[in-house]
Amino acid sequence: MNRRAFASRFGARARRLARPANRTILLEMVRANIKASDYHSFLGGTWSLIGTAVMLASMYYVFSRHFGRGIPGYPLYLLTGIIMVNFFITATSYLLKVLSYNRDIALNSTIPRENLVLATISINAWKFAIELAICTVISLAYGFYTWRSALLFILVLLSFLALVLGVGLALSLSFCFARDVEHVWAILARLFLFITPVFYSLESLSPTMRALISWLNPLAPFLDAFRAVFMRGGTLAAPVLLHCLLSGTLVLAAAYLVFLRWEGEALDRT
Amino acid sequence: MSEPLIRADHAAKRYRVLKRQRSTLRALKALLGPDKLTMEYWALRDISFTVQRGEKVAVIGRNGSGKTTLLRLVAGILDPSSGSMEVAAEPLALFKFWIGQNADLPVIDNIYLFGAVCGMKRRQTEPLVARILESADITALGFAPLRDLSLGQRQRLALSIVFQAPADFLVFDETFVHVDQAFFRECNAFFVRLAESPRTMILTSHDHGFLKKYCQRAIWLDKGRIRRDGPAADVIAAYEAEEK
Repeated sequence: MNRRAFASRFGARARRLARPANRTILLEMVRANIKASDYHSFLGGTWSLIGTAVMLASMYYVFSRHFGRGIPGYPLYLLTGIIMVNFFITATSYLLKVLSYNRDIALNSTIPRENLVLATISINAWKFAIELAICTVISLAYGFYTWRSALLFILVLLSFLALVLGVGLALSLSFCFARDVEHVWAILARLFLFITPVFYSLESLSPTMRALISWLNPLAPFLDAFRAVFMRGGTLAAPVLLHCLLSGTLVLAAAYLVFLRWEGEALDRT
Repeated sequence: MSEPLIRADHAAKRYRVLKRQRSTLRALKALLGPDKLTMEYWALRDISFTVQRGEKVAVIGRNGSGKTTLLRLVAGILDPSSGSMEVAAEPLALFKFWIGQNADLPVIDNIYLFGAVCGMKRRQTEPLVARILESADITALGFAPLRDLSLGQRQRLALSIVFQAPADFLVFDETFVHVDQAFFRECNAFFVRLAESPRTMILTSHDHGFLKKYCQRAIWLDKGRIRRDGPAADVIAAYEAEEK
């Protein structure tokens, strides 16, 4: 595809996305997805949170003696890590199949493909929002939460959602070309639970490991930022915040451009 | 003369289809060697035509002649691989009636959902719900999950919503296949209104009587190329003569 054709496609897509009618479709799709999911009812929502609670309890039982010492509010420290990494794993795993599962819709309706992506992630985002609300309540109970936390939270959350969407878009494209991506991602995603400081602190690692995880694991700065929100009254080192903002924005922008360029070929091969 | 609604200029569409079932080994071989995993399939070639606002155009041709691909280009779902397809307004396109429905949700929620796909906001759809249910003959099933409805009922529901949509430009791809006689009367009433209106419509169907009744113009596609474009009665007669 030449540059002119790509620019024309980008422009046409932007115009379509900006239409008020498209916002109505997206809103109805999100509403329908949440209503059709378990999270719609109180009992269904409770069941989905039990998984997180069980994971928190078992991790606390196993790791609190070793890694919890010296970390005030260790249960909240764990919970923040679990929900953030869990959201990343589940949302990207859902997004991985978004093009392939919705091929029929993508090829037989004028619903923009971006809507399919956003509607798919909305179910996970809804659960994530509930869990973040619980974190906020616990943080308030500990006395950690401040107005500064709230301001930082908005920036960090938006950057994190951008990162998740970007990774998800890239995965959804690659899954159309190679089905093995699903298996590879399942293994990698599980690894994130261990290579991200969910139950340990970066300070407990050697300087080399600390540097490796801080700079090579895309989730590490975000987890630090979320913990700054919930546990440090919104105090976050400027380079970490910049890292979050840049990585979220750049990953989403790059993935979206690649998505626009390759979505047609990807759907051909699905 | 005013600007045409659709202007196709030497538009072509190429798909890449797999030569054989894909496996990781074959994909790797294709990456490293000269033997490609896919081959090109040209569904449309050198398509040029214009459609003015208010025209009702039938697209006819054998299965695999490129009718659906052409409508997807018109609807903006696909981009042409070469040439251009300029469309001045986004159409309400109905390719498969179950698209835009969520089988797990009740019928009424699906009316709002599909209504949104058809360009209607909640407050526009709300006063129409009873009429849509009545038109689809499923008044008693408003709160039943959509999956409990038969395919025919789901088709009637989708079409009843489309009939209420305020779209000025409509695209239908074999949408009226398998409609029962009773509902066909509803369809006819809709098309009579449509034929008298300034709305634009492009549709495909194998029901030539239906096409002749509601379209003034027909485009005959043959192996991805336009074979003939002209008054519906003439083009359809020529197509039928060749098919005999």
